Amino acid sequence: MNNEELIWKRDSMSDRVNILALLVRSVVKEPNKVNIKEIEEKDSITFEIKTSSADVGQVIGKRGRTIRSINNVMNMLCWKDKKKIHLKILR
Amino acid sequence: MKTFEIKGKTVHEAIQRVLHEYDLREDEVEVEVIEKEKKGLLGLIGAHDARVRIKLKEKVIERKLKAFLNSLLEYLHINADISVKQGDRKVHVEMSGKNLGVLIGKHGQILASIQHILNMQVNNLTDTKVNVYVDVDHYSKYRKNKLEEIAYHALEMVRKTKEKVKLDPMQSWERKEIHRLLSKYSDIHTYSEGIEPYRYVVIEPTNDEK
Repeated sequence: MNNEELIWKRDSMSDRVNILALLVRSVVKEPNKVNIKEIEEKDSITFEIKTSSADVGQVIGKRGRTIRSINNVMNMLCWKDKKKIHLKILR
Repeated sequence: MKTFEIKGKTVHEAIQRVLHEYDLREDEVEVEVIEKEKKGLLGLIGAHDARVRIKLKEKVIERKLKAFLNSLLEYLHINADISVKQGDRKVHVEMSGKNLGVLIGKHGQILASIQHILNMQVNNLTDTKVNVYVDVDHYSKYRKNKLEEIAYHALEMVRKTKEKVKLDPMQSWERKEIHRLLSKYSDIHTYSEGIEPYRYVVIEPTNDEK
């Protein structure tokens, strides 16, 4: 895998935010306008996702299918943290 | 594949902007210059911007998918081989390696989620609807065999008891597979009930009007 291209790069602190950004950016139409804030609490982590107003629906998807998928993958990626993941989309 | 028509101060500037915005490489696009930029007299009269049409090439899909999946794998410290096969409106992604169970998840839930996200990503790059199928360690083959077992077992039950049988909740492609497998038998019929993600198949005997 070493010589393969990675969009995501490991840089300790904001790993989780970056990997979530990768997930969200791959879904939206204006990737450059995605902004994510992480709020870590005792037993949960909340991510606040900001996108361009046109992409809000894109991130949520039909009946929340897309955001549910992102949530599923995020929980899989963060199972080691043993914390509940909450995703919030801000308008 | 998707085509953009954009304006820019110069042809070069316009191309670079699109490449940057969508994270593309120069050899992944076809560029057609509609109109070159014109400085005009004193930069005022008759000046106009350049217009270019940029078309994505098919190979963008493979690179983007691989980069995405490799990033996930890197985050999880897992190694896997990824192969991407592109066909007519279809993209098949296959991953193989050790410890890939996490990518499948309970009842293939994670796999379905990853597949949905990749579908969104690929369809942002194309005009026509493209279906992306993701398979980890031949999970879908394994699952299909299992579904066959479930279907025939349920069929026997229905024939024996003459009562309808409700199967466990399944994903849409799994239900479709069950419907397809059992469609050739005329003494029973199948339909789905419930709301996603808990939608399930019901198998009912047909000859109930006696």
